Amino acid sequence: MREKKEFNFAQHWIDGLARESESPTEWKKRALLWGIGSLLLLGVVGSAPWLWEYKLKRDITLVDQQIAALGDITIQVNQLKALKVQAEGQQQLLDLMKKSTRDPGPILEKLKKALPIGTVVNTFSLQESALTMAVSVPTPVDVARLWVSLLDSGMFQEVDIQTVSLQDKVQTLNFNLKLK
Amino acid sequence: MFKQKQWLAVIRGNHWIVAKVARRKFNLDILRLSEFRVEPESEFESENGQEQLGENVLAQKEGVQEEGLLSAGKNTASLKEWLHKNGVPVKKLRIAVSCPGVITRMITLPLMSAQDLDRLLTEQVDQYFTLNIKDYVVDYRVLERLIEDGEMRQRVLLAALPKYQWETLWSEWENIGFKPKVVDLAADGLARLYSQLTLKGKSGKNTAELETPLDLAIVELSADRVEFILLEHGVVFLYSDLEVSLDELDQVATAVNGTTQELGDGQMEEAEDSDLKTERLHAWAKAEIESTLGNILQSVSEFFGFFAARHFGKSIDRIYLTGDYSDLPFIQEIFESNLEVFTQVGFPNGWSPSFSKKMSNHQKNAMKYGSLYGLALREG
Repeated sequence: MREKKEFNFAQHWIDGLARESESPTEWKKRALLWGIGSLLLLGVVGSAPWLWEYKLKRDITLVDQQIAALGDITIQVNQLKALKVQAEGQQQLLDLMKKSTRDPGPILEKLKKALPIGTVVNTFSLQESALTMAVSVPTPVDVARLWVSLLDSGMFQEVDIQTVSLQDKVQTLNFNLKLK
Repeated sequence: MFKQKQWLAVIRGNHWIVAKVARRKFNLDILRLSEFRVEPESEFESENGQEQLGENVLAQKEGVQEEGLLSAGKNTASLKEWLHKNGVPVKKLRIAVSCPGVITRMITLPLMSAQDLDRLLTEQVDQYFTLNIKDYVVDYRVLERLIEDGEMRQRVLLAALPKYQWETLWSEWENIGFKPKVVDLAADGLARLYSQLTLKGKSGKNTAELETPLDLAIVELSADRVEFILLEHGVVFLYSDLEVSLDELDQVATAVNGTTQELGDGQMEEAEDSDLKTERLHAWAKAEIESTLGNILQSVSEFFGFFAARHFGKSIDRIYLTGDYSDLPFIQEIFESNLEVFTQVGFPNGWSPSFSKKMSNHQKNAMKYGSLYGLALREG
């Protein structure tokens, strides 16, 4: 600040007004405002954990409500699961029943189509999946036809003919077959 | 060389002198100068309102106040219009004010930093005044440094402006649409002008005049107020003012100037008669002026006595007259004969500003605008 060599009432007046605006009462007002502001800020910061907890609780409640709204579907899903398990059990039982009890009727029906003309079934036995039968065929050609037909039927795991006579006469073949 | 141009205004009540000046050191060119005064009608209206105060005083007073406010608003509007019409850049105006009720104090303080001095004279200035300082706007300036009792000290001038006067001025400026950056005291401008011009005269090597005395009295004569400044070796010693009414001398001045004109144009045969008439008229005018200036002369005489008492009988060396009424006829003679101090109208060392061609009609009134020139010489 330089030495004041001249009067300047305008500057003095403006400075005075500026000082008045920073007078003790004005300063007190400002301090009070700042104090209140700081307290509010402190309150907000201090209560942050509680606020967070409150928010979490609120979120949980909301989620619970949503879950409750989805209760019907859960019941249905559970029912579905139970039914599936039940269905699986039944399927297993069916399979077991299928395995254990083979109905010879359908197999015979299929075999009928596979057997060449003039073939006579002497014996037929079906125990579980093991099929034993004795078949008489008029010619060796029919033996070959029979063998091919049995193979093509796809009903058996393998078809094996142990002995074949090439004589042009009726011959009896014994089959020990295993159903697929 | 570059000359600093500035817009200045000297405000004395409702009288504004606005000028654009260019300055380089002591060379002052007046590029533009115009004056604004409140129209006499509104003044008369206000006075009549006051004269009519009768039984119903309260009601009348309210009427006058309202009228006064209306009149002030009207004045501001017309002033604003006038400033606008004259193309005055109001925001650039540097102002000097002169108003009644200004109080000055001279104090001597130990040397201290500018900040400390500012704090002292802002926060504790009331200790230097016996009046309620809250009613005043106080500013200060450092006059000089001196050695007193072997210690360096500083002399400081305090000036207190009545707050209501200041607030009136400030609100008027705000109404016009500006807040001035510089507001000085017109009286201090005068002190600056005469102090610098006399110092210039002393330091000048080729000056033909005798060494200019430095203990001066400056009397600024305006229509309604006279301001007195005493300078001691170029430094303000005393400031005072006096309410007067010099406008009643207008007719006297017109009459005297009229006869002088007539004499110049008159014919030879009528010269003797005219001389006699003129002599009588001049004697009458002189007596009129002397009696009107009686109070002023009395005050100046008292200030001189005070000055002499404080300077072991040393009296003031010279009186300088300036202001609107410094061109009154016989004024120099009247001051000299009454106070027995050499008196001069105008400025020291034959100094005068130069007026531009457009303003040449103001040249004859150059001695009237001392406050304006003082403001122009202000640094900062």
